[in-house]
Formats: sequence, C-alpha cells, structure tokens
Amino acid sequence: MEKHTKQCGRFLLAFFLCLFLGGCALPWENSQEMPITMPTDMARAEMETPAAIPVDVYWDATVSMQGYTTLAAGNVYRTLPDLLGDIGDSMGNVQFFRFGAEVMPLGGREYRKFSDASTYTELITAVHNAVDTADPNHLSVIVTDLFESDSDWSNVTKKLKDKYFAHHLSVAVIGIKNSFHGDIFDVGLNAQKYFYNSNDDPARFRPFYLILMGPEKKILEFIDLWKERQTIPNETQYLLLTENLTEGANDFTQLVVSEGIQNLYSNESLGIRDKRIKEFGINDQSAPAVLPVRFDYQPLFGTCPLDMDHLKTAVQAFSLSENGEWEPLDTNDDPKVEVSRSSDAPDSWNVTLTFQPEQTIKPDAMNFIHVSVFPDAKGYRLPDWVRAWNMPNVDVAPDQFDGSKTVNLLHVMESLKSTALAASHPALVNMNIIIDER
Amino acid sequence: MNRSTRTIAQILGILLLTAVLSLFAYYIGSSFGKSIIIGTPIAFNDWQAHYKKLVYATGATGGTISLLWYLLARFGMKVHTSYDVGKRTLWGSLGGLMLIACVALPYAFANADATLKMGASIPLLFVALYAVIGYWIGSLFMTPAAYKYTPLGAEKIRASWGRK
Repeated sequence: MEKHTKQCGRFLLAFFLCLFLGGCALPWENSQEMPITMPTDMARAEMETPAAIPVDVYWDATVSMQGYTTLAAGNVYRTLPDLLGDIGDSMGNVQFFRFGAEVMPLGGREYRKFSDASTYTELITAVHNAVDTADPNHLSVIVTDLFESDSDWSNVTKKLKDKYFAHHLSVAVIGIKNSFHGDIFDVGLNAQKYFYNSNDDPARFRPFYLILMGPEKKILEFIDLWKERQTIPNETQYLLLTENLTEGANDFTQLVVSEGIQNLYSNESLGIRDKRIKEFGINDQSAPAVLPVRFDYQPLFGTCPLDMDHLKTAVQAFSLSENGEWEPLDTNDDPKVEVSRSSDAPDSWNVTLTFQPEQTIKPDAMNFIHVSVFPDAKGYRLPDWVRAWNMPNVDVAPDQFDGSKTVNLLHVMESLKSTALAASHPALVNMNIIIDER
Repeated sequence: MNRSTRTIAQILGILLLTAVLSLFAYYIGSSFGKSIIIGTPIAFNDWQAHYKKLVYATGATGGTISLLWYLLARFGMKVHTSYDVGKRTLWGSLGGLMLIACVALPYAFANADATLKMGASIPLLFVALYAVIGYWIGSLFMTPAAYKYTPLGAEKIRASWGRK
C-alpha cells in the first residue's frame, strides 16, 4: 500500500513538473507596448481635440460693413453678435476683438454694438493683423466682407499657411447673404465708392463672410452649431480647407482591408495606440506583399469637390534610426499604388499597395510605409457658389457693379485653396503601416 | 549510475524533452500561424497568445502520455515470466492516444476560439514533435530496461546505435 502511495506521489510530482517546465519554456508575454509616432511630415491632425476651446471673434469694424446693419428685413448680421457670443460660449469661452488697421479687444458685452451702424468707424482693413493676433490653439472667427486694403490677400494667405495649414489646422469660410443698404468702398482698380441697396430682395442681398481658423473638428462643431441656431433662411455657403477630404478620415480608423491581401498579416504586438497606424508582419521576405484596402468617398461637409479622374498617389518608406528618428528609405521606386473604382458601390474605391519587401523594407529595423491618395491641382476645385458670388476686379464699372457679389472673391478663394493644397496636402486616403523587422 | 538515479534522470529527460519540444511547437507553429491568418482580421499577436494555450495543453498531454508509459514500464508492470516481456499493445495504444490528442486538440481549441484560426500544418507539427519525436523516439531511449525493446523499431535502432 505504502509503495503504491509513493508511486502515485512520484507520478503526480512528475506530472506537475512537466506542466511547470512546459510553462517556463514558453515566453510569458507576447506584446511589448511602445510609443510610436508618425514621421513628422506624415503626421496629420491629432485624433483627440480638447472638449472645450476658447473662441476669439475678430470683427471687421470698417465703414464698408455699416450697410449690413441698416435694413431690418433678412438681416442675419444684426443677430450675429449674440449668435457668435452664444456659440462661442457653448464651445468654451468667447472673446471679441474689433479690427481695422489695428486689433483691439472688447470688454464685457461691448460686442453687442456690432449690430449698430455707428460702431463701424475704421478706414483701413487689415485682416492680416487679425490673423497675426489669432492664437492657433483657439478657434478664431473673422467677420468680414473680404475686403483687404491694398487687395493684399496673398499676404493673408501666406500667414494662414504658416500659422494654420502648415500645422495641420484648418480654415473655413462661411458666406452669408444679407440685406444691405450703404456705401461700398475701394471697389475695383480705381478704388471707387458705390452706394448699394438690396432692399428686402434676397436675390440682391450682399454677402459677408466668417473666416474660421483652428482645428478641423472644432470648425466642424462650430458649423454644426451655426446651422442649428441659424433661424433666418438667408442663402449661406460653406468652404472648408483642411487636410482631410472625407467624412470619416480615410486612415486605418476607417479603411477596410479587402480580399486579396498577400504575404502580409495583421499584427498588434507593438500595442500602437494611434489607430491611424496599422502594424503588419511580412510572412516571406522574398515574395511580393500586396495590401488592398477599400474606402468610401463621402465628402466632408464644405470641402472642395474633387474630380476623381485627377487623383495622384505617393508612397514613402522610412526606418527608425537608433536615435529614434524616422529616416527616409531609398526604395528604388518599388512600392506601387493603384486606385480603382470598386464595383461594390458607386462611391467605393480600392487602393492597392504592392511592394517587394527586400527592396522596400530595411531588415532588422522598424519600418514605416506611408501611402497617400490625393487630388492634384486640377482635381481640387472650388465649389460653384464661389464663381456665382464673384465679381472680377477688372470688370467693375459703374453700370456693371453688382453689390450682391464680392469683388475678387474667386481670386481670394483660389489663393486660399492653392495655399491649402500646397501646405496641408489634403488627401483622400492615408495608409500608415508599421512593419517591425527587428 | 544506480537504478534510482537513472530513473530520476530519465523522468527529468522526458520532462526536459517535452519542454524543448513545446518551445519548438511554439516558435515553428507561430511562423505557420503568420500564413494561416493572412486575409483574416486576426492580429498575429492575438493568435499567438491563444496558440500558446494550445501548446500548453498539447505539451502537457504529450508529456503526461510519455511519462505515463515510462512510469507504467518502470513501476506499474512487472515481469514474472518471459511471456510478460513486451507490452507493445499498451505502448501502441498510448501512441495512438498521443496521435489523437495531437490532431484533435488543435481543432477542438480552434472550434471553441474564433481567434485561433487553424491550418493543417499545426496538427502535423504536433504529430511530428510530440508523437514522433517526444513519444516514439523518446521512448526508444527512455524506456526502463525491462521493456526497452517494446517501442516499435527499438531493436533495430538500438542495434544500429551500437546499444543492446
């Protein structure tokens, strides 16, 4: 009996030793979470924006704005101080400024006087000073008729480029047609003054503009609140200039990897928290890797319409150096990207990345591949309303002057659009891939 | 080396062999897993974490069966007459059990766990490692002297290695 108990004990001991040794032999942890940041050039707007943001309103107080305050019918403009105050307060904390040649902060509820014609006393309009003063960490709103002294809008767009577009921030223009009765100054090449009366005819209403500058999400939030609280049905148009062209950002937060993937497997061993980046592993270094993804083109509200026949693609590869910097890799033009319309749905598109790992990927290193699909200058077009609201500068003769249009609007918007295209690189798709070959 | 020391050494040998085979099963199986999950939304590290549990289970089963054969041969079976020598049916049954475990466990785990997508390469790997190397080849060299010719082919292999 005692012998059997001993044997039984030995057996159990051996069994548990077996489990213990087997357990020890296998690695305990699979994931090694580490912070991954995109290469600086590839980084897009931050995924997270603060819940509340200070809102600064810069109001053009030049005399040419007086005419918006005078008629009672169809007058959004007179409700604007309270409307902007309410929206600003609901988004964070609102601060009003007036500007002509200089920018001056307004205290208390002084901003409500913008409903009164007597407030508009400035003679020079310097929108560029308002842009200079604006804090890029705030949402800034410029109320203006888009007149700039000396017609120096290229100076304004340069400042917008340096301060906003180059830092993944956005600019939007809301155009609102409003009743108008008053003088319009410095029109055309001879800087003439015209009297204009729209009466209460909406077709003759004269546009004024809100230029919004700040994080894309906050601009869209502002536009939503604006649309929600805008009770007077005046014609209103929108233009959003931002690095993202689609409703849901077409990075790996939205992209769907479709059938036909070859030699690449999904991996999350790095525990990358940035959902715009996806980690993959390569199964066979000598075989081609193919990554097909599908995306739905749903234009973001207010963005420039795209000509989908004028899309371009770009691929860049980087490897992580020992000092933690992403260094560009010479891929010998290996990675190829193809864009094609999907047969699944009318607005569905396929993007397929193909590369030879041996040519594109650096062995024993962390690799980053960035693929973008973007419109070229011809494919990134201004919305039709801009042309409809535009009056070319050279055509302004007394008998041709039309106060329901904005002199040089097309030129100003083209300038803004070109600046956004050059600095923000608006893209339809941004695929950010990490391949850890260490 | 006296009998007790040899017994302990052989038990430890079986355990060590099982542990080493489990390591091979984990790493080789992981490399198979990379191709198994291509085209699925399953992340490799997730698959690998679930696969590790399968390796634990199969390793424990394989180790237990190998050890069971050794312990039965060493302590459970007695040779009283010359007819008592040779328990190939028992050895073969345990080997068959091992084969079934190597094939059934992967599919049973995969059936219960959607993340553990299975391919035929994994059961084949387990058969090669646990059944062929762990049980069969292991038993050729780590079977107590009384039954050393019981495992299939033991006589020929021991002879070719110059052992009796």
